[in-house]
Amino acid sequence: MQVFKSLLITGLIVFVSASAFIFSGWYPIGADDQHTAVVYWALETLRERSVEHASKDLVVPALNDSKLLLLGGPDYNEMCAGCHLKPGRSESDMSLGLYPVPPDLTVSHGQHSEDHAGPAQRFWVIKHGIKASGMPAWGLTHDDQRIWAMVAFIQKLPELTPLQYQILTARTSGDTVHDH
Amino acid sequence: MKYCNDLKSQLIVLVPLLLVSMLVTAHDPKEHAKETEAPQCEALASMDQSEIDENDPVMQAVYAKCRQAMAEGHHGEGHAKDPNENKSAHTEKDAHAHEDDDLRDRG
Repeated sequence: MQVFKSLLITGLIVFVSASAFIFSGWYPIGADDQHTAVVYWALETLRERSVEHASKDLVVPALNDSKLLLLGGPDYNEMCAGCHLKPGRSESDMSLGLYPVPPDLTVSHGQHSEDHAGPAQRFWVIKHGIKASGMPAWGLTHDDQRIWAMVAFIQKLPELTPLQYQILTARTSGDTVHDH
Repeated sequence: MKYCNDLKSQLIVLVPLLLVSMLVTAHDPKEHAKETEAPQCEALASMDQSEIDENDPVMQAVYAKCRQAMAEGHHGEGHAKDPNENKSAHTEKDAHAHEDDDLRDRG
């Protein structure tokens, strides 16, 4: 009974302290004021583990298809390059101002330690977004085929030259959305 | 009678809302297409053709995009400069073959 009372009091103290912390407004929320290392590690680990868990059953289609590159390239340029950059561009207003910093998708995994996502994880993140991060859920307005096309393009992005990027992302009047 | 008036009021509100909600649909990509520039296919001539892997899906996509852009460019000129215009044997396949050769020869 004493143990139960102790646990109850402890729980109450934790609840009151947490509520006071939340309602105080003390914690800095500005994107230009970084988390402490511990908080950053906790949030990042939570995010990565959540995405891994949510995407573990996804079946990745064949992505080495030129048609997917043609479909995904213009979408990437218009929807993603502002934050995730493109060949020949190492920063943007969005990439500098967002926190956490959006991963630079023009560099390969070996060069960018923060982006080890495979195609399944990338598909899931594009489709569902990330809470409170600036990464939108594109799946609400884009079907799976278009998202897989963007994943296919992103897989090739680190090896593209600026010329190849410009050609692949240019929209011609003949561009159409494929029926599904 | 009162019931009919209530129903009528509800319909006056609901029908416009329903019509507006139908506008919220998956959109055509052209809606967020910016003022994009044409693909710079002429610059392919500066690439070392001997180093190009034609089985590379990137280069396959690049060539496909340039073929499409060139075809649109020919349509825009009204076929005036197409020497095969009056030949009945000229097919779309031949046009693609010409465009492929043209892309390679520029190297």
